[in-house]
Formats: sequence, structure tokens, C-alpha cells
Amino acid sequence: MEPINILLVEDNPGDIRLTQEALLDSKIRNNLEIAMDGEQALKKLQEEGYRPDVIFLDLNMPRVSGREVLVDIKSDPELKKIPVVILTTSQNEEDILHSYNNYCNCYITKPIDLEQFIKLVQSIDNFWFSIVKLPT
Amino acid sequence: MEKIILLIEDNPTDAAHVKEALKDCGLSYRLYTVTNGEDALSKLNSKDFIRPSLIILDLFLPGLDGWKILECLKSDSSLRTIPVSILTVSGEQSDIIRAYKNMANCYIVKPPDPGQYRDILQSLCRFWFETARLPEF
Repeated sequence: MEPINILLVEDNPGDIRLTQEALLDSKIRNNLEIAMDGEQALKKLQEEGYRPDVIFLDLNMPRVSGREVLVDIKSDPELKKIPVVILTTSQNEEDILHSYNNYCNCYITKPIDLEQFIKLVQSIDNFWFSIVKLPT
Repeated sequence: MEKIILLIEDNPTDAAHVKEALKDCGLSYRLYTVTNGEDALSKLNSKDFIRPSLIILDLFLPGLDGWKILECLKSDSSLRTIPVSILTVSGEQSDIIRAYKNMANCYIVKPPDPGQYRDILQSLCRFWFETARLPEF
């Protein structure tokens, strides 16, 4: 089976490291690409031939926010098929509603506790990579 | 809080598998089943029906099919925030891509072995009710 290509859009180096660590233990082979802000993410997604299978998107980032990236992805006829998992510290009801209104595939809040963070990434991994069928 | 799941499935055997799979899963939920698209939309638009937290949608239905229902749900400003999980026999990439392009939240293929329904359905509901955050209404 081909490895799953994940684009992680995240500006916090600690969260990037934890996500990398959690995904190392995944049963499913995966390649993790990092974009440190929304601008980098959109630039990467415009690269010819680059199509991640799934995008993990933080909301609060410098320059171009995750909210704008989500709107751009889901209004692009070619990119909108890529599932976008919002992964953020924001528990704000407005952010949750805005994200679902703009067709995020799911919204997940990051726990502060490290062990819980690892467990969370593993449960995302288990659901999206083993149970769900992704577009390829 | 008890979650409402709306299952849109015309095949009684598959609907029974879903119902059975979610038994004793430790989650607090109520499962409503409708067997066609017309009933699904009239239920969702009825003032007396409680808004579901999750919709499980088969694609191949008589009359108004799953594609049309998905389109109706995702173009309706009050319904589009409800997660829609496709549950279908088709594992064709063309259907998978079409479903995501039409804003399905996730896509699951029905297992050939009924014994696998339990693992799949419980993972689905645990993910949506315990891992993901849903909008509050």
C-alpha cells in the first residue's frame, strides 16, 4: 500500500514535533510535510503534482490564517476533495461553526497535556487512515 | 448528552447491521432510520425533529439518491454543519472523489463481512462524539 501523504499546517514547533512523534508509531506508513503558516501551505498546494491525501490545519497562524486556507481549499475545484482536519487550541464556538460552514471535514481541539495530544493524533490516525477511505 | 444519529439506508439488512453494531457501545445515542431521501429531507426540515449530530448516508437509494441528498444538505445553510458520513458498498475512487468534492465529511465502505460492522461503526461514532468537536445548537 502507498504511504499516506499528510500536509501539516502548523506554526508551533512543539506541536509539530509531537505530531511527528505520534505518527511515527502509526500502523499505516505516512509521509508528513510541514507548512509553517497559511501562506506556505497555499504555495505548496499550488505546486504541480503535489496533492496530499489529507491536511491537518491549525487555525491561528501568522500571515494567512487557517480560516483563510480552509476557504481557499474548499472553493478550489481541484483541491476541495482533500479532507481537511482542523487541529487547533481554539474552543471558540464561532470557530467551530465557521469551520463546518466552510466545509472542514472535522474539527478537533488540541489538548494541552502531552500524553493526551499523542493519544489524540493516534485516534485521528486510526479513524482517517484505517476506517475512512481517502481520495487518492 | 444523548446524540442523535440519522441513518439514511434503504437496505433493511444493512440498517440492521448498523443498529446491531452500535448496541452496547457505551455511547449515549438515539438512532433514527429512514429508507429514502424524501423522508430524510422531510424529517430534517421538520420542526418536531431534533437536529442530528451525525448523518450516515448510503449513496444508492431509490428515488432521491444519496448524491442528491448530499447536495441538498451541503447547500442548505442550516443543515450543512451536520457531519455526513457516507456508508456505501462502492469503493470506487470516482465515487470517493465525487463524495469529497460534494463536501461529504468522510467516506466509509461497507464491510463485506457483517462481523466488521461493529468495529467500523463504533470507531465512526467514537470519532465524531468523543474526538471531534461538533457545533452546538
